[in-house]
Amino acid sequence: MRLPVGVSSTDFATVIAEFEQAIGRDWVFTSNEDVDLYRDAFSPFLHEPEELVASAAVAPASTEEVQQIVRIANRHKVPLYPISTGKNLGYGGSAPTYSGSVVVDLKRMNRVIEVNEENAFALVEPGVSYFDLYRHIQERKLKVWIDCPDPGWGSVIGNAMDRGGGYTAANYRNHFDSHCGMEIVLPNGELLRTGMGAIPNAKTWQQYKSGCGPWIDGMFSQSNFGIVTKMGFWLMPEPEAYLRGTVSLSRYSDLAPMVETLNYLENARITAGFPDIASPLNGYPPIGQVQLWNETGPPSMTDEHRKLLSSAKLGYSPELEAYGMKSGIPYWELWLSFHGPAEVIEAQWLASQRHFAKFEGAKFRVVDRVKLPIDQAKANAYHEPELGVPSLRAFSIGARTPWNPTPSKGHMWFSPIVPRTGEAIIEVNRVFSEAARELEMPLFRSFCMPACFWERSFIFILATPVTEDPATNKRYREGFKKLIAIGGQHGWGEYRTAPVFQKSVMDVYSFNDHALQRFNETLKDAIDPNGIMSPGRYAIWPKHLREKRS
Amino acid sequence: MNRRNFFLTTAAATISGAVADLAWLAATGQTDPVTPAASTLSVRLYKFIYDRRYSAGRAFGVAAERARSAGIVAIGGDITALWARDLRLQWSAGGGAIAGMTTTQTLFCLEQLAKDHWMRVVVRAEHAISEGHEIAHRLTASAPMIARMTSALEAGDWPTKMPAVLTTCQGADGEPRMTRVIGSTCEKRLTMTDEKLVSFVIA
Repeated sequence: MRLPVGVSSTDFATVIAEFEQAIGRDWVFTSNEDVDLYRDAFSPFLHEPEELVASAAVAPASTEEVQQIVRIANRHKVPLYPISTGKNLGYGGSAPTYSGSVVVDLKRMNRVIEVNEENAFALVEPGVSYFDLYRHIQERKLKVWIDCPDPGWGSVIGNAMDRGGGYTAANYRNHFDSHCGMEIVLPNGELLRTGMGAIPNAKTWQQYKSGCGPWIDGMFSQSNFGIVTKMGFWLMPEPEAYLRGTVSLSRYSDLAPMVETLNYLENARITAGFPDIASPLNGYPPIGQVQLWNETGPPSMTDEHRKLLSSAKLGYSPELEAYGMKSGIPYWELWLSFHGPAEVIEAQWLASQRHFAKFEGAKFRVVDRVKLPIDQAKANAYHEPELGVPSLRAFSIGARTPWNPTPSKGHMWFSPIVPRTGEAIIEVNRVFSEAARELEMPLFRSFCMPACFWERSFIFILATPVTEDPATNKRYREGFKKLIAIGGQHGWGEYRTAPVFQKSVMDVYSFNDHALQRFNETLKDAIDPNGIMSPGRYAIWPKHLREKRS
Repeated sequence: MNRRNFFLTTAAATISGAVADLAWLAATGQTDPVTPAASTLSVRLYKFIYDRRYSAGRAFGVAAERARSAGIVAIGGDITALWARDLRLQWSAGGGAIAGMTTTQTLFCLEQLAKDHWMRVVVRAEHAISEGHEIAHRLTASAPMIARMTSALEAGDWPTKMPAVLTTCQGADGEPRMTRVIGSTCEKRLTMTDEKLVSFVIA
């Protein structure tokens, strides 16, 4: 049996016995075989002793059982690490931030407590996955949509708490922003409800977010101040129809004004669906087509095109641009999508085209007109999450294909948030392609495009592979940290990261001598003086571990 | 009932459908006399899963169908429907060990989903097919299971032998697992696109 640091085997045996008494022997796991299930499948420490591992795991079935677990841990000063379903692969999975912690696995708390069709909201427990919530809605024929990530196997609460994103309309894609109301078990075992939920018998817990007084919900995401046991979410009323079209532009210099036009259209809600920017001339697909490319390969490319690409700088050369014009291959392709009544979304698409008509040679194409609702099987013809349908199709790629010759053992996501401008896209490509080359990291294969999960900013999502070779992984880890610092020097920061990089990322958020870090630590000391809750998560260490970790 | 023992039951009650292929193992003298192919406590297999896009996968599927020891599902890589309409329900109800031959990506996905039900990969045989007829099989399982798989993998048509062998798996609470790499050839050249398929049991 593994032990938490500083806890004797005798004391830990006592703690385990108390856990067993609280929630039943069947739901307390101590054998290596069981605890190994909580290892991070994409650990950057593959085959290395530094891998972050749990000492044990417990799986409570109710808020009351969570409270009991927390009280026991607090009494014995045993570190806990709550997970919902532990599927945030590439960002740490189910492994704790602090080795030796006891994983609190919340997947047995899987009740969909309410889905309100009339006002389009839900209240769920942490073990509810996107598949679970989707099925619950479908079985009851409720006229609401979920917004899910891809793949959709994770927890609705877990993804929101880690600030994940999805693919439907703008005001639902940011999963934390679309939440409304939380229930939290604090490190002393006390139960807290936020927003209107602080009123006993509240009537609008999932209908008005902030309640009155300080709105503290944000404190509990990407942090370690409590265990969320219930959370509300706003859902999208089921749209009547879906339209997806593309805007194709032929000049490199179109990029910046294209982004400006997109921003206007989205901020004005003329388009609200997931905008997807591709560069066919640079061989870069829209996110919604990545799956198809993985399955069947990218569009064929002539030798001339390939040669021009290899000599282009930051995705540009006059010759490449001329080749694109001659061959009818767009430099940029913006995919716009619309949800709503058919007559409304046709008008929105028309208005969008009018705004892009100022670009010389702009071409427009309707890719899909879909009458809704659509069932899960038919959604397979599309990028399912854009229709609010969860999928596992991301794993359908073959073992090895000509376009994916060396599948990796996993990956670490490098995901900086950058301004939503064309200039930023080019600058990010310049800065990180140069850095990746110097660091010998396989980060950039070509000119990369950002994703538009959130309004008003871009996010680049770049995979650094995890390999079988510890020396290579070590080099990539060090390189990853340097990339984080380089991003920070340019005013860009990660939105989320794996435990091994959380300190490096939070070091970038250093305004006024790390005032944010110091504030977080002040909160930690007040809320969790024994430091039992996810020590070190996003670099918030309890006092007794702080100096060692800095 | 202990969750991890839920999937285990006596061989007599569960593997009758695999008798024909098990008989093949015995007839060719390839069963381990110390660890009989069909032990007294074998996994109750709920489904065989194979990837129809690959020649080895299809051969596995045909043999699994012959064995009739469990349901059979052919996939084209995407397991969304299999998961949403079948495995999720079965696993939520507390049972449903599966075996198969798929891509490593598919197995990874199934493994992560199985974890949600405290199930795990108890047999893993990665088949690395090179340009010629040479194949490296990386086996991770209990020693008796490795012995049985080694015998099966020596056959030229090893993909057809795997379903029967996997049926003899003894589950998650068996002996300690180990890894061994063995080499073999195939009588009918498998295509490079089959690299790298993996046979498995999740229980």
